[in-house]
Amino acid sequence: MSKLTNSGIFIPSLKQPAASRPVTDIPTPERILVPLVSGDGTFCRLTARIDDTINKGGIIASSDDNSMHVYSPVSGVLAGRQAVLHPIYGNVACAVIENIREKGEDEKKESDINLSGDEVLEIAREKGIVDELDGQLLAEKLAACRNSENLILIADGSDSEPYSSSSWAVINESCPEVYRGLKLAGIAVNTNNIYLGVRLGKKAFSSLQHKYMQEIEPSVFINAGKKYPVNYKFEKDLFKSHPTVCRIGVQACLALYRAAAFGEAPSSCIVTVAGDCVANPQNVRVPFGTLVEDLLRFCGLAQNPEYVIIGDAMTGIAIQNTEIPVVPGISCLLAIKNRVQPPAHACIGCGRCARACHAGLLPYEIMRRLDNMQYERLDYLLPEECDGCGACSHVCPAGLDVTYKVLEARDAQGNIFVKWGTGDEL
Amino acid sequence: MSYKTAHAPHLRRSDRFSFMCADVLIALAPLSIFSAVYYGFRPVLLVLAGLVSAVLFETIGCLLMRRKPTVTDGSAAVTGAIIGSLVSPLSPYWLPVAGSAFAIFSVKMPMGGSGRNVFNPAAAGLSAITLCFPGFFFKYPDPGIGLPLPLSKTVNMASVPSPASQLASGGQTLYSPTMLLLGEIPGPIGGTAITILIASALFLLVRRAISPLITLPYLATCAVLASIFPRVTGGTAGSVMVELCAGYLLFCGIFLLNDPVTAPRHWLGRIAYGVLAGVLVMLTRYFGRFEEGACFAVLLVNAFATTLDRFGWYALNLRRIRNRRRS
Repeated sequence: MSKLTNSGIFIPSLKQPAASRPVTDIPTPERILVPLVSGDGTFCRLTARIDDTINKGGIIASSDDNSMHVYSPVSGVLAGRQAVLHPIYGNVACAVIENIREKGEDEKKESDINLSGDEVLEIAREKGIVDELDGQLLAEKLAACRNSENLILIADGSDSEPYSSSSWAVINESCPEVYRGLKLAGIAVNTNNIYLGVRLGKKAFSSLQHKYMQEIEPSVFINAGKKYPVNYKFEKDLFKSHPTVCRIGVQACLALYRAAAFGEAPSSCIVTVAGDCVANPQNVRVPFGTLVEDLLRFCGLAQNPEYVIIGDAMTGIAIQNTEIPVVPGISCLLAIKNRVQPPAHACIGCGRCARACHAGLLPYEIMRRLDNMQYERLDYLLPEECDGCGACSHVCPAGLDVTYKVLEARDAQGNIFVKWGTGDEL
Repeated sequence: MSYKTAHAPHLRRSDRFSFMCADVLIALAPLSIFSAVYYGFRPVLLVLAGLVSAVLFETIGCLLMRRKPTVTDGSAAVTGAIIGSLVSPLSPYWLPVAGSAFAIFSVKMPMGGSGRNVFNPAAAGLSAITLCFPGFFFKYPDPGIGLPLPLSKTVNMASVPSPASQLASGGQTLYSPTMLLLGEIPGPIGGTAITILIASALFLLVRRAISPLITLPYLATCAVLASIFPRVTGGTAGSVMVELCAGYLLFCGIFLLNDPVTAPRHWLGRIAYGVLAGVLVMLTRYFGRFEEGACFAVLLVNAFATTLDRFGWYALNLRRIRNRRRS
């Protein structure tokens, strides 16, 4: 059972056996669905023609102002369009690519990566690199904290959620490239304080430092510890005196390096497939647009799952239908039969949610005010500072969906609370 | 194929409210067993009368309100067991039943049932029987009688003054610190076994069913007030010892104040709550009509719990709130 501490929890690790297995490539799927949405969430128009043959990395759709594009993650034939109800994008049009052929990768020459900050940001924006930690466009995230005083930039490979081990798989496979990508991100935000966060035991941590001693300074590696969420360790413990700590994903760092060095648009990601129904839990390299159904079929199902979750157990979204594509930002897929859920009860006021909250909020009070429709008094409780880590719901002995309620308060702030009482819009 | 949907997180601690209540019941059990050593089986029956009646009343309450019975969470059992544990071993069996009836029908169910009550039902039930039947409530047998009490409906036996009543009348205390610690003093069923109460508190602390942030400030406040305003002769240490061991002050700090539903959740609010409860308990002792009025103090401090909770958090986050509102 997980352990509750002040500002965070210790969740038992469920990463094995996937974490210790090598990364496998999914066999070429029969068809893929590529959502016509760019990295910043803009809906794009299809620019390629139906029945055209398209190459991997080719542009298939563009935004109205032609600034953002959707790239094909595979080579194949554009068979048509299909509407999909996606849990992240909502109702979205997808390009259907069929007759996918495996094309031998051309030997690409690494270009000079002595780039300025603006150039790095431009590359990240143009290639639509998405940070897998929060699904945000990397360029926007970096631009937001650019030139912040005393900024700390961390490539977070800690996989702090219970099942996921995809970040560790990336570090294990291509640590130097990730570091180069991180250095580029450091240039973009104008900081030299760059770190690579991992979650390892003392012995494994020092052997990792030793392994890459030639290329990466040992002090670049930091151990994130076992507390969930990892933000607390970085923001309130290791870098307490620094006002801004920016975390980016290791897959995003790798994509940034590849985009800068080889001009490649990100076309695939590593996804941890796990859960009590998965026969072969493992990390799989999947082209974007591969259907969740195909991914589950590849790993095999030992029994029929009751829940299929995209994302990890703490923050993932339970989906009803597996005919949806893998998109940038997804790094874990779970198929679960036995989901522990305490029977729902009125809040008993144990205060565990407040203890577990790393942002120092009062989740029970936010929930109470939301339920009592005291919207005007909700503002003082700062629900907008919630990052939805799920620790409060995880520890609730009354089985309440505390996180969901706090996020509801956070997301509804602009729509309800600000307009509350004006009478103009309501 | 369509799969089930649910909100994140999909991994939860296998903790239940009923587990917390079960821990409290486990911690309460040795107290009545200890009392049974002195007075026979009667104290155990009194505790069971309170427990069973509270469960029954809650079931009836839920049925009347057309709700799914919430007795399985164990909160009603805890309420009844606490009421049963704080009556005198000489009490008639209907006394804890009357306390449970008031607690459930007047305090718990009208406010919405389990988890929604503003006031501690057990404290309210105890207050009701203290006010209505003080003759039964403060009549304690001598632990040195050496004979089990009869199990008949009523017991006609001479009562002896408890340490709490001696404190109220002032003068020299009759009970030594060893007697106080071993529980060889007249008092309520669960309130006298100080050593067992401390062991129960440690068990509940380890199980995280109670918070030291309430109990310790509460006991510290009571001790400070007892040392500043002693009511018995024999020095500061003696006064503190007798005040803390008399009546059900310690029991109140462990079981009544730590009711999660009525106590604050934030750490600063909890400390303030403990201190305020300590002050009120000592005030009811010094100026109250009865020798022990901790249950009234608990009800009073319950009314401030939400405010203390909120202001504790606001006090710590004032700058953060200001910055956020400015931006």
